[in-house]
Amino acid sequence: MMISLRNLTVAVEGRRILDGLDLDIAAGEVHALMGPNGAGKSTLANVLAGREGYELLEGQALLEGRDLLAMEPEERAQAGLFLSFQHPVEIPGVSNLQFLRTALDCLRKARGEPPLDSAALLRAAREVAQLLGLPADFLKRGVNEGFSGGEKKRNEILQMLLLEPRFIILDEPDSGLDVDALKLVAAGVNRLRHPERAFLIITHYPRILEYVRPDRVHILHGGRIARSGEADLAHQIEAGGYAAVLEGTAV
Amino acid sequence: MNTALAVCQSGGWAEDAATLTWHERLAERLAALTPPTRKDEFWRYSRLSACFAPERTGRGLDCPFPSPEPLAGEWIRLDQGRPVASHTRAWRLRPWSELDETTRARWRERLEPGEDFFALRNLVEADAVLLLELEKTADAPLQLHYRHGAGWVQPLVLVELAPGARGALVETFSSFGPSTQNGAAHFWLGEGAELTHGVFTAGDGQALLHRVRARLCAHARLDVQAFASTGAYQRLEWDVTLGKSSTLRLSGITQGVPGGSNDVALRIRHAAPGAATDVLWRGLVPAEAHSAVIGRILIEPAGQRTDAAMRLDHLLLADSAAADVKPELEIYADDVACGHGATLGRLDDEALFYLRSRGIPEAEARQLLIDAFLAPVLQRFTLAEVLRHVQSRLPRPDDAAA
Repeated sequence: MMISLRNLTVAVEGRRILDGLDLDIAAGEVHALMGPNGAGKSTLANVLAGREGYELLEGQALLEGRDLLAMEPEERAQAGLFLSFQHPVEIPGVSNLQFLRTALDCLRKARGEPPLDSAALLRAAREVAQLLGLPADFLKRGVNEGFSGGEKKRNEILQMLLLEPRFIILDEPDSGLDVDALKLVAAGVNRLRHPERAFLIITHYPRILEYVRPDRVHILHGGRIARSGEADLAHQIEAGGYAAVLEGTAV
Repeated sequence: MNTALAVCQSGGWAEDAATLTWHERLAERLAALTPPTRKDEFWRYSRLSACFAPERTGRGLDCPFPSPEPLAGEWIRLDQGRPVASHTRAWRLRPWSELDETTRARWRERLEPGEDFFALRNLVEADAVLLLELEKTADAPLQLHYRHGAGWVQPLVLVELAPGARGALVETFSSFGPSTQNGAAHFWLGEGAELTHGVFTAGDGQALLHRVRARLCAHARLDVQAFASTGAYQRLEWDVTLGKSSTLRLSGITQGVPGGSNDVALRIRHAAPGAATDVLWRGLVPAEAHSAVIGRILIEPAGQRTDAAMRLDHLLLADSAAADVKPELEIYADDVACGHGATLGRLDDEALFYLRSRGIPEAEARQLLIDAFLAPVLQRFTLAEVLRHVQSRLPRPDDAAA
């Protein structure tokens, strides 16, 4: 199993946001996590990535059998986890190329690999930037500095493609994107689909799932997975809303 | 070429009648003054006591310095405030005793210290007085390397660039024992002259006060590139008066050390029309360190069409770090474009998490953010001599995690 969550219970400022959440995602699978506003979708993403400010009350998260919650954020990334942020932060003064080189070197070092040759990195970064429709001067600019919302999302996908993680959480990769940008982001995700890699796509809308076909769709409600189903579940939500889909579901 | 310069007169000043009279008056004025206190606006945040610690008092002391590192290019070495060796082709070096009375009179007028205690004390007690003159253009920077190691040390350097002359001067400071250096450099930039002024202090744990007073004639340009690594106490001052259509660009970095205190005081006066000032100073303040920057730009009534900007920023690297920052504009002309700003902040937790989430260890992530904070200043540094020192002193990841 790529990721295995058991009874994950997390509070923020004393309030339980996740309450006994169980979830398994096998290698090679793409899962979508949907749910109404405030259901805890981003909380789950942040807890798994190691952001501070969340109180773990109970439960376990194993990434390929390793205790994810015992690791520092960078150790989680080195173990193969990648979070595509809903709101990527701007870091003026750190160029995208410098950032990518540092991140890649750190990940390769953790894997016992030598640093990537600068020319090879530059070639790869330019190719992916072009694929994602990012401007030519992108690599020289500060990380996300002055980027539009769409450019920030595409930058997340660019990092994902270059860093090649094994378990990828995409936190609302479709928010604020026009249809062309959405297709570019989806193409980036599909390019990385692999039998030894897994995805968890957090989204409000089934639109991105038209382009990235999920193996499973889950609805997060009341702090846990309230319902799971095939890809069609996303369309049921679109058609009837969460209340109708969750009707009769005990939480 | 002027090599192995002889040691200047021990008292610094030649004993001609005019200088003696002037010197006596200065001594009388000094006797009536006391060191500044925090009631004085420009010393409001200063932790001066380190300068007057008993182990750092005493005058005219010798110090057994280690063999100096060889310097390349053009240079002057000043030990205990006195020039001991030099190598320069482009600059003319003259001690006060060799100046004619016209030159002496001109400089006595320029050196008027007002009520500044430390400036007066430097003039009265100067270990040596050295005039550096540049007539044309010097391709290589002139390096002034100061070493102090015992008691109070008070070098005085006078710098004059002829109209149209262009050059660079890099002052570096290091200390080797309990001492306070109370030094001064006075710049006179003739019309259209250009001087790039580098300053590097190594933060060796002693006390250092260094004042730069610069007068820019019409169309002159002064480009300051400073890196201050704090000692027990350190104060760097620039007092710059800008003439017509002259330009000051002042860029600096303070790197604090635990337990150290650093002041930067800027007094910039626009005394004629069309002048421009651009100040960018950034400070790194670690645990138990203190940094203060006071910057005042005065636009006199004659300073029409002034363009002045001042930005003073500090990054506090620990809870126990402290900084005081005060930018001021005082404007008496109506056709000006002036702006100033200051920030005190910590490393951005969101940015730190973002970097760590990509596999970058916390120490390296912190260093990336520190580098990013300093980058706008470093991009303005063009002097290789300063950059070389700076790169050797900036914190490495292990330090940043501390």
